[in-house]
Order: sequence, then C-alpha cells, then structure tokens
Amino acid sequence: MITTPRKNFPLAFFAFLLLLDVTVYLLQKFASLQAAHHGSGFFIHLGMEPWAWIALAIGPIQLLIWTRILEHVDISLAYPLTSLAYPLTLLASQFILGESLHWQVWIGASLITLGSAIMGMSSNKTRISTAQPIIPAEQHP
Amino acid sequence: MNHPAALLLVSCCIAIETTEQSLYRMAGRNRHQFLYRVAPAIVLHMVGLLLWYWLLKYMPLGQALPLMGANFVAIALVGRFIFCEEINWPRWAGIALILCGFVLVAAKSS
Repeated sequence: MITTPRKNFPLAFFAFLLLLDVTVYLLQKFASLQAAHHGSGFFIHLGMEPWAWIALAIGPIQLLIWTRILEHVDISLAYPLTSLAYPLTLLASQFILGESLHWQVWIGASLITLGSAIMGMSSNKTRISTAQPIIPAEQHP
Repeated sequence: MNHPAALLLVSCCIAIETTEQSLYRMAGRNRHQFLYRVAPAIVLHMVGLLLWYWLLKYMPLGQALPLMGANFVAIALVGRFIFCEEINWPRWAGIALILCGFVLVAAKSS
C-alpha cells in the first residue's frame, strides 16, 4: 500500500481542546451547585447562572478546534484521545472541588491515560494510507 | 431485565454519536462544505442529547454510561472501513485500554 508521512500531530490544538473540555465540566458543576442552592425551580435558576452560559458559549469554539484537528488526524486516533479529558477532570475535581473518589475510578483513569499514551507514542511512526476513501468528498481539494 | 425501549435507545445514541463524529471529520477535510456537514451534526447532537435523557429514564446512569463505551469501537470501525484509516496494533491496544478504563470509571458513577 502506498503511504505518505503523517503531518505532525496538532498538539497545541489538542491540549487547548482538553483544557476547554475540563473547563466546561467544571463550569457545569459550578452552575448546577449554584442553582441547587435556591431549592425549587432548578432549571429556571440554572438559566440565570452566568457559568452555565459561559459553558454553552465554549461549545462553538470546541467545534472549530475539533474539526481543525480532524483535518490532520485520523478519527480513530483523535476520538479515543479525547477521553483524556476524564482523568484530567478527575484531577481538577480533586484540587478545585475537593471531591473524593473510589479506587476503581482511579484505576479506570490510569487505564485511560495508559491507553492514550500508547496511542500517542505510536502515532508518530504511523503512516496514513492514501487509499481512496469511500466518500469522495473526503479528498483534499 | 431492562425496558425493551432502553436497548433501542442505547443503539440510537451510539449510531447518532458515530454519525456526528463522521460528519465532523468530513467537515474538517472539506472546508468548502463545512456548514453543510456541521449543521446536521449539531442537529444530531441535540437529538442525541434528548435521547440520552430519555434513556436515563429507563436505565441507571451506571449502566447506560459504560454501554456508551461502544462509541470508541464504532468510531474506530468507521475510521477503518469508511475513511480507510490504517489502524496499527498499538492503536487497537490503546482503544481497548481506554475502553476498559472508561467502563471502570463509568460503572462507578451511578
């Protein structure tokens, strides 16, 4: 099979995407904690929380970064790597929210990190295939 | 035994997430048709969110969330067979490890 060298992995974009992922999870948590304070009418109070709206506004930014990443990276590599947001959020929840977690969650988070590391380390040696994709729109103009 | 609607909803959620991600990938590779790929993806995202909340009525989160790990496998298969991506063994091994980790974390979050 004819192969071409892979473009460099867009690490900065990917790191920024993970940072935004963690930020959104934390903002959602802040917003729901604040809204729960008021007792009744959770969703009405949630709608009045600035944190909830900031979290929502980050969505389009993530979409642009994500499609930009997928321009250069196989989806079978990029999509599983986004799960790194889970262990990062666990760490953030420890330090910022002071949550305590079950050991099973830590083992799971370690497995996700290990799996991502294996994928990441092998990605530089991988070559992308130039086989004709089934969907013609996939070809670069 | 689960409600019969639950398994159907799980399959729908997986199919929607896989289609959505495929659309993002197509949008990334074809800037001329960016909006035509991203707009249906956003609609699918919202439909998926509604189905997800609906699913959680029939199934506890600790059971529904690990099943969503099937997304990793489904999207890898789409990458392999529709987008002709070459998946070497470290990549399969990484996907398998991430899947195990995801299921462990998700199963504890009920």
